Amino acid sequence: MLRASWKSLLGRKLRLLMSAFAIVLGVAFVSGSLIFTDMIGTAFNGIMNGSVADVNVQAKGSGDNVETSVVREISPEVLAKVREVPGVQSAYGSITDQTTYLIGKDGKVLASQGPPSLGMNVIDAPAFGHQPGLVIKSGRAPTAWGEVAIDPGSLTRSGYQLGDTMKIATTGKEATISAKIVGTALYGSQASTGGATYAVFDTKTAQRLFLGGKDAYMGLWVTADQGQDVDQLATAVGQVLPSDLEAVTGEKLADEINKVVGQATGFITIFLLVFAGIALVVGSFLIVNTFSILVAQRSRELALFRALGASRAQVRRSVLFEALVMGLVGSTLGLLAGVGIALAITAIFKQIGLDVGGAGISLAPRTILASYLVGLLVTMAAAYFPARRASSVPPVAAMTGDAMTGKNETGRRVALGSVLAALGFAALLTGLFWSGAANRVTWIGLGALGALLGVAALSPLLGRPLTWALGRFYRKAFGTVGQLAELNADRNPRRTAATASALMIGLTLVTAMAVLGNTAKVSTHDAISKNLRADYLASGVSYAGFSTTVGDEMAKVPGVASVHRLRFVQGAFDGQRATLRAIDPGGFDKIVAQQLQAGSAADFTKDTVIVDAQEATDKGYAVGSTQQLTVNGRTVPVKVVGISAKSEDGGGIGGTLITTDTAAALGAPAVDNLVAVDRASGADPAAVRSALDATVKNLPMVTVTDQQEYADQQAAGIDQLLALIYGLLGLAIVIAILGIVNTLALSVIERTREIGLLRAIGLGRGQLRRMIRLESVIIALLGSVLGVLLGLLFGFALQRSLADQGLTALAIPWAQLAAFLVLAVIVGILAALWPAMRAARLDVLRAITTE
Amino acid sequence: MSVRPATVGCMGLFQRRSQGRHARGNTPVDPVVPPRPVNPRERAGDAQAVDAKAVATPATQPAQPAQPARPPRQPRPIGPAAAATRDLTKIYGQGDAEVRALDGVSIDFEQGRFTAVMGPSGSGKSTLMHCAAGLDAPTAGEVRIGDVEIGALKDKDLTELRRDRVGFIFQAFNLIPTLTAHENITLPVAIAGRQPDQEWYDTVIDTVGLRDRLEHKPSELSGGQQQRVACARALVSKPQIIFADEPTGNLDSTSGAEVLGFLRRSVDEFEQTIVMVTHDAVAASYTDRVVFLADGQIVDELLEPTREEVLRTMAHLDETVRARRVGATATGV
Repeated sequence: MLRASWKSLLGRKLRLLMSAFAIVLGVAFVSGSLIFTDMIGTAFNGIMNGSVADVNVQAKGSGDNVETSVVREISPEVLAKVREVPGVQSAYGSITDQTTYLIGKDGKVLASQGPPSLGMNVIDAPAFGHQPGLVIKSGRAPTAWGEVAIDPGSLTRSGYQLGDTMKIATTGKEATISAKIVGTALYGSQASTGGATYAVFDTKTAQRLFLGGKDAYMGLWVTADQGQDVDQLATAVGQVLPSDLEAVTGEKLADEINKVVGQATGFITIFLLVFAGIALVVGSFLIVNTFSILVAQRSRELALFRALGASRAQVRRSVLFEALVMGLVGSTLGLLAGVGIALAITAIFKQIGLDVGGAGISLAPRTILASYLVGLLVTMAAAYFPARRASSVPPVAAMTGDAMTGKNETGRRVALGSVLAALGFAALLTGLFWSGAANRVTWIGLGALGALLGVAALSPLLGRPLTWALGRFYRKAFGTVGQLAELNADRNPRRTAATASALMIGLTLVTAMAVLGNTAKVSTHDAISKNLRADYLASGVSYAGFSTTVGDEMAKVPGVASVHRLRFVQGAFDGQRATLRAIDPGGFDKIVAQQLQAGSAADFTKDTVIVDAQEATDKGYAVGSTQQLTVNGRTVPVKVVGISAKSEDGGGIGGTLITTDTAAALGAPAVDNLVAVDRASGADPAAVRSALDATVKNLPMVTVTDQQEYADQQAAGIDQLLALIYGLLGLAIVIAILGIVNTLALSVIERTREIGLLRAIGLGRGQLRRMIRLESVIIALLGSVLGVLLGLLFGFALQRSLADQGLTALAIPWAQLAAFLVLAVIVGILAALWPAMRAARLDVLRAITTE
Repeated sequence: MSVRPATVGCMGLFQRRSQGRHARGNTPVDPVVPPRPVNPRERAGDAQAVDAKAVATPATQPAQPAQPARPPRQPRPIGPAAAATRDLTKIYGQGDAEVRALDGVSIDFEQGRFTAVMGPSGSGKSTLMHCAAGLDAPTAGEVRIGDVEIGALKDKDLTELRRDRVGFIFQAFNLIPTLTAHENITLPVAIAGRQPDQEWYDTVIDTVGLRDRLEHKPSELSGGQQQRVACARALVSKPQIIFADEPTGNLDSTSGAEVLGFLRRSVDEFEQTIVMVTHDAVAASYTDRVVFLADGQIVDELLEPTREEVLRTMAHLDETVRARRVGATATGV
C-alpha cells in the first residue's frame, strides 16, 4: 500500500507541488519571521557587548527600567574616588544623549523612527571582558569643540566625506551646531549600529551640549584589572558611590538591555507571525481543496484498492502519507524560502531605518522545529477530512467510477457551518451591544473568527445566489461560453466555494482594515478640526523630542499670541509605568479643547496632577486625593486636582497630566515634543507661517504644520500602517490566487475529455480560454463579494467597539471596496491564465480519447 | 443487389433492421429520379447556403408513413465528394518504432451517402477518420472537406470548419454533462453565436424521438438516448459531413439499431453524408458502401453491403492480412 501511495504521489508531482506551494509560503513566513528576530537579536548583542564596560556606574533605577532614562550628574570627585578602588585599571566619565540628530547634505535627518540617535563623549577604554570598546574606524577621535566622529553608515548616507562640516541638531540649548567630521567610530566589533546614529564628541563638547557645560558625567566606564573578579569589583565600586548611584557589571547591564530590546523585537515577531498564521489558514483551504479533488479524481483507483482488499484504514493512511510527504517537502522548501523572506524583511526594515547590518543568518533549532511542526500539522490536518472521505469510497465505485464526483455539501457540513456562524454572530452581537461584557474586543474577535469559518463552511450555499446572478449576466454577455463557464463553476459548489473561501478570508481582513483605517482617518480629521485650538503645531517625527529653544524662538515671532508646550515624560504614576503628559500650568485647554468633569484647572500647579475619567473610575482616584509620581527615579507625592471629562469623539490629550515644572523639578530632560502656536488676531497668516518655518530651518526633524496639514499628517500615518498591513495580507491573497489556479488546473485535467469534445465540435481556442477565465472570475468574485460583505460587517463591529477610543464616525471607503471587486475580477483573469493556456494547448484528439 | 434478405442470423436483429429498411423505403426521394436536382439541399461546399424552406421539405415528408414499399434500390447517382483524401499518409513514431497508420489512402466520401470504414484493429480506420475530419494532422497527402483543403488551415479556421461543416458522433462521452439534451444539441450552433433553425431543429428532434427528454441532463438519459442526442447535435448544424466513430460500440443491440436506423434515415431523408468507423458487420450493413482498410491501405470495397458479405470480406481480409504479415515477418527475418 505504501508503495502504491508513493507511486501515485510521483505520478502527480505537479499538482502536489502547487498545493505544497501554499505550505511553502506559509512556512516561509513563519521561519522568515523567526530568522529575522534572531538576526535582530544577534545584531543588538554585538552592539551591546561593545558598549558596556566591565563595571558601569549609573543612576539607581536605570537598570530596572531602561526605557525611562534616569539621569544623575556624576561629579569628577566621584570619578576620582572610583579610580582609587583597588582592582580598577581605569575609569572614565561617560556622557550619552539619545536625541542628537545628524543632518545630511540634503538637509534631512539621518535618523529614523525606532533606533536612537546617540550623542556621546569619546572613551578610549576596552569594553567588558577586555573586548574592544569604541573603535575609531577611520580618521581620528574628536579632540575639540567643532569636531565630531560619526558611525561609518551615517557618513555614507549623509553624502559627506571625512573633513567636511556637517550640521547636528540636539535637544539642548544649542539646538544646532556645525562640526567637522574628523573620523568614524563604532562600538566593539559590530558591523553596523542597528539603525542608530552615533555622534561622538570630546568630553568637553559633550558636557557643553548635554550637561549645560557643567564638569560632570552621566555614567562611569570602569575597566577592571586583568584577572580581577568583576562582581567583586562592582561591589567595591558601589561602596564608594553616593546613594543615588549604583555599579553594575557589564554582563548584567547587557542582559538587561537585551531584555528590553527582546521585548521590542518580540512584538515585531508576533506581528509577523499573526500574518504567517493567516497565510497558513488560507493555505490550509488550498490543501483541503487539492486533496479533495485528488481523492475525487482517484476514487476509481482507491475503490480498486478497496476491491482488491485494502482496508479503509489503509486507504486513509495512503492519503495521509501523501500529505506527510507534501508537508515535509513544503516545510523544507518553506524553511529555506524563509531565509529569503528574512532578507526581504531586513531590506524593508533597512529602508525604514532599522539596520540589522551584517548579522549572519542562522537557522536556530527553534526555527527549524517551528517550521516543520507548523507545516506538517497544517498539511496533515487539512488532508484529514479528504482522507476520511477517500476511505469511504465503496469498492463498487471501481466499476462505476463516479462515486465521488456527484457528492455535494452534506448535511453535517451545513449544520456545522450554521452553528459556527450562528455562534460567531451571537458573540459578535454580544461584544457590540451588551455593554456588560467583560472584554468586548475579545468577544468581537472570537465572534468574527467563528462567523468567518462558519460562512466559509456555508459558502457553497451562500454563494449560490451570486453564482446564479453572474450566470444570468454571463449568458447575456457571453452566450454559450458564459453559460458553460457558469455551469462548470456550479458543477461542484463545494470545490468552488472552498477555493473562493481562501480569497474570502483575505478580503474580509483587507476590507475590515480598510473600513477601520478610513474610519480612523475621518475620525482623526474630525477630532482635530473640532478640538485643536492652536493655529500651528511644531512636532517631530513620531513626536520625537526637540530643543526648547524652538518654542522660545516661536514665542518671539511677531504675530504669535502664545505658545504652549507638550512634553512626554516617561515615569510612573501610582506605581504604574506611564507616559505622563507635561504641559504649562495654565495650558490645560489651550492645545486642544477639553474639559474637567471634576476639580478646577486653576488648581493645576506644581506637584498636582489631572487624571483622565477612565482611569479615575478604574482606580478610584478622587479630586483631593494624593498619589505617588515617579520621574527620573525620584518619587514625590502629588495631589489630584482634576478629572478630565471623557470626550465623546476621543479628543483631548488624554492620559495623566502634570505640569512642566513638576517634571523639571524631578530632573526630566527639558525637551518639547509638541509646541502649539496661537496666532494673534489680525496677524497675517502667511507672514507668521513663514516666520515660524524659519525658526526650525536648521532642525529638519521638526516640522511646522497648520491644522489641515497636521490632520493630513496623521492620516498619512494611518495610511502607512494600512499599507504595511495590506502588504502582509497580500501574502494570504497570493495564496488564495494560487488556490484558484490550482483548482482550475485540476478541473482542466478532470475535464480533459469534455474539453476535447468541445474543441472537436467547434469551440475555438479563444472561446475555451474565455470559458475558463469566466469560471475563474466567478470564483474570484464569489470570494471577494462574500469577503467584502463580511469585512464590512467586521469593520462596523470593530468601529462600534472602538467608538470610545475616538473612532466615532463609521466611514466606509466605497470607492476602495469597489476597487477591491474590480481587482478580484482582474485576479480571476490572471489566475486563469495558466490553466486556460494548458486547456487550449490540449491536443483535441488525445483529449477526447483520454480515459 | 436487391431486397435485403432477412433470412439468416438473429431474427430479432433483422426484424428491426428490415423495419429500418422499410422506413428507408418510405423516403420521399424518388428512387428513379436522381434526388439532387429536385432536392435543394444541395450544398456545394457552403453549408450556410441551405435555406430553411428547402430544409423544411423533407421535414414534413416522414409524417406520411403509408407510402408503398420502395422498389429495389437503384445505385444512387454519385454526387461530388463531401470529403476526400489523396495519398493520405500518417506515420506515428520514428525509426524502429515507426508505424505507418495510413499509407497513401485516396478516397472520396460522396455527398448523400452513408459510408462505413472497416478493418481489423490497427488497420488505420480510426486514423483515417480523424485525419479526414480535421482532428489529426496527416504526415503527407491531402484532405479536403467540400472544396477546402484543410492541410493549409490554421487551428482557428480548422475549428470553425469543424464547427460549421462537420458533425461528430463518438463512441462514448459525446455530451457535456452540465448541459441539458436541448443545450447539447444546439451547442455547435450556440458556440458559433447563431440561433438554431427552429423548423429544422423540430424535424431533427422528432426524428430522433427526443421531444420529451429535451430538458434532461445526460446523466438522466440511457446510453441509446445519449447517442441519439449526439446524432441530433451532429445533424442540427446541417454539416456537410458527419463522422461517427463506432457510434454503437457502447450500446446494446436494440439501442444500436435505433441509432443506426436514425443515421440511415438522415441519409435517405435529409441527404446527409455520413462516414462511420465500425467493426460491427450489422452496423456496416446499414450503409451504402463499405471501405475495408488493412495496414493503412484500402484493400476492398462493397456497395450496398449485406451483413454476410461484410462478414465474408472481413474473414477473407483477416486471412490475407495474417498471411501478408507472416510473409513480411518471414522475409524480414
